[in-house]
Amino acid sequence: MKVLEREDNNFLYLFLVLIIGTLIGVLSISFFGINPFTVISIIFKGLFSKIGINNILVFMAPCIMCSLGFLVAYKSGVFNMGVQGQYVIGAILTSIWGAKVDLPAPINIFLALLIGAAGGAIWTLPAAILKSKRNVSEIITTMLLSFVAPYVGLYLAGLPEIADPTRINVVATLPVNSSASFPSIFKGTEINISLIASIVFALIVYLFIWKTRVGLRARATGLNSIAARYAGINISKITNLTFILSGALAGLGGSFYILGVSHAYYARTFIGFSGYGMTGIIAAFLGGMNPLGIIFSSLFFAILTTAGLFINVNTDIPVDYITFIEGIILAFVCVPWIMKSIVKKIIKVRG
Amino acid sequence: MGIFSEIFTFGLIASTISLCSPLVICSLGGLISDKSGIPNIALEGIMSAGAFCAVVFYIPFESPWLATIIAGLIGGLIAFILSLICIKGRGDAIISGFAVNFICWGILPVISMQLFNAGMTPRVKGFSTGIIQFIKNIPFLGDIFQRNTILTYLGLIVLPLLISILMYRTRFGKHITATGLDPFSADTKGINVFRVRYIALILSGILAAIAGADLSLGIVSRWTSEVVAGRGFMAIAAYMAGRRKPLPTLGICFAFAFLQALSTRLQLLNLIRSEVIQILPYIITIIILGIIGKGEFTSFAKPYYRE
Repeated sequence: MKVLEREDNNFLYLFLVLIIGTLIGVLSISFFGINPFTVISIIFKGLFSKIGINNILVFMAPCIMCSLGFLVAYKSGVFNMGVQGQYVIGAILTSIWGAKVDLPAPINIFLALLIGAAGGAIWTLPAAILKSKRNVSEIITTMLLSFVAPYVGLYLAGLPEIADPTRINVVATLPVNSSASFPSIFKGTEINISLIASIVFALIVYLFIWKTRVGLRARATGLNSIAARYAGINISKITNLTFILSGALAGLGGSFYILGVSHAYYARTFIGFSGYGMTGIIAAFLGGMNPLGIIFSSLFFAILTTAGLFINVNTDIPVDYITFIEGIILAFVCVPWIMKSIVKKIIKVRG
Repeated sequence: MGIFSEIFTFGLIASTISLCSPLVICSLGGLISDKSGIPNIALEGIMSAGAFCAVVFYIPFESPWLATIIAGLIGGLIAFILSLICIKGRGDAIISGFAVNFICWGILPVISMQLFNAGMTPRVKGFSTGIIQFIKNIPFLGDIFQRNTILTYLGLIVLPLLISILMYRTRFGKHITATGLDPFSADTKGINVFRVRYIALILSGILAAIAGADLSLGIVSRWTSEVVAGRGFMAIAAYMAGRRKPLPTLGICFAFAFLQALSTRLQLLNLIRSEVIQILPYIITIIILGIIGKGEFTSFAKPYYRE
């Protein structure tokens, strides 16, 4: 199998990883006394219903954006593990803007997105400054910042001018004005323009990283920062730029979620690590650190999230189970040679 | 001055001491594995798993020590799985650590749902506090030490000494340092790099899980999915700020624990919205890291393999 030996052609492995991860996830559900075949039938019945397809296409956009955010930083050697935090900040700022400001539709949507992106970018600044000035690992700082973000969201959403007084037991912001919400593309569904926008962003990120001078410098920094410094590249400038861009993309992911999916900030759904920020990181790895791959891996994770919701409704398995499957997939992504040797063994047995 | 005397009580010192011990235990575990060249990013997840297992095994056996030991063994097992991925499998230590974190974050609420039909465990009694009876009657010491358990003292006094002796006075400790500094030279010298790293990583997993047990059985008396709340990452920040030396790490952990205790205390007083106070430990941790600087992982998690 010559195809399997080539390093750049790793989509085949990643696809195998995806299938094996999902299989392990679905089969290990039987430990909890639930027949995996009933789960599979629940999933298929759910996914091919109108609401299932609707949810998949709606969930894709925020996942793609968070994933692109992680990718941009990763290519220049920055591990932005706090995508979740930037996503939350983008979401809360967008929902506040959308609830409070009423302008003509295109301008209002544009401004709401802009403020979300700015929020995400600002949330990376402490980590970016500490990394470039004080040489502090961005993994720890971004992670700690993403523990802070839900509290900021909870605080802002609970302010009396912003909180929705009609909701009693949950903290939520006022719903977004219709002038700031994304209009749906197909009548009767929630599928909206954010899906197209996120795919366009994937294209832009691809062009930025592989076709521009800044992108080349970022990749050089990521591959070998010492060599890049000798080549005359200002490393801290490049990493700061990609770090902030990464935060802006993740913040836009939050904006897309608010304007396209939930239309208000429900504080409870942004606590913990089952959000799209964390899923986006795994989607970036499963997508082989490639914008095109990310679109497909985000489609997969959107399917997985939707399936998790259906399983949660029909059995007593919480949606956190999806995080477990994501962890299994990420563990397999770490060790690609295991997949290679498995495939080789199968081929040997056959031939 | 009324507010100050309400905040800075002996209770604050007491809860600083008890909150400090899980941080110290976890942080020293992380220190060992980082010294060996594999930073254990999964401390957070393993700590949560340890806290959960301790409560689960406490309920049938009613013995906090047995529960803590079982939790430690399970933590060691999780760290062994992690070491299979990042030492044997030559995976990136950061990514595989996060994978283990995701697995723990995902599976614990599911198991909790199956066992207790809720996202959290029921309250348990856990470790008995106020172990030294005569100290209760001494005016100030009584207030400070009455809430602590034996595990607190083990974590705060015995463990830092043990780790210091292990790192600086034994052959194995020197092997750990050598392996972390330059695995190639260490291998040439005849040190089994893989064995040293396996042991260091498993030790850190055991300690992280015991820290979790200390947290759930000694302080919070139950497990919820938010009980660890970033303490694993704070432990990493603590040993980084402590320059990977056991005693400075202990000092930094005291500072972090004081912030956590202060934040809990301020929440009880209800002066401002609790969200503002809850972010305090995280923000100050980041600031401390920034002031001390150079918080990088050793050798940045490069997998080692022989040519």
